[in-house]
Amino acid sequence: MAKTLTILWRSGSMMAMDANVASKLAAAARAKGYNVRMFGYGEGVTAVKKGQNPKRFPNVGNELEALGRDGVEQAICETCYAARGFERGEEIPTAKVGSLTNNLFKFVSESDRLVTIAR
Amino acid sequence: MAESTLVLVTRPPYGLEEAFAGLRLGLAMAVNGMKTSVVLVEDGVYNALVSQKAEAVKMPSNMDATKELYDFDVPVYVVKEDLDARAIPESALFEGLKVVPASKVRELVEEHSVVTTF
Repeated sequence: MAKTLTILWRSGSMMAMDANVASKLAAAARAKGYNVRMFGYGEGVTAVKKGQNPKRFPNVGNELEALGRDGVEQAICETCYAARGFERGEEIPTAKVGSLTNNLFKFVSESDRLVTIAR
Repeated sequence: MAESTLVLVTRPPYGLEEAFAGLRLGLAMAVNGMKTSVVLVEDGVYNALVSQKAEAVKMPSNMDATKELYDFDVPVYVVKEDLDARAIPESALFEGLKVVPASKVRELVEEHSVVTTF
């Protein structure tokens, strides 16, 4: 039976590579047959904003969307999202605007491993 | 599958969102019935001070956020060596916290399914 990994990331889309590292880790785990779930918390919620245009840097929104289409379940903290002025519908289509209590708890309780990426 | 979560809070209150976010994550796990423990470690021990005044910076209180964990029987540990290193006496802490030696953290890590750090 495939093992399940949850990645909790708390860094934003820019100024640090953390979100990119999270997406690379998710891709690597998927390639090894893991089920992967990702949860964006705090500044991490900015990484799911659709329409990002970082020009010289990797587009983490596109990376996450590609992972989502590959079966990586994704959710973010709605409270954190609203606190930063985002509204539902501004996120990439593969990301669910959810909560710690529902989505993260479900992800963690169904996982074999939890990796936290933050600084 | 994970049956328990250990939250390590390494950052001080206020100025950074990290500690509050960790306390809230712990609460979210506990309200769902998952065994959850919190450790205040390194600069995270500053969250244990009874003298903190969140209203001075118009931020939510990390002391209140910690005490809300008590309602769900979440033990909150404070590492003694990190208190001593910062010259914080146990008398400066608010009630309900469990002061433990650093060696206890190793046991807690082994006792929990997953660990997350803030």
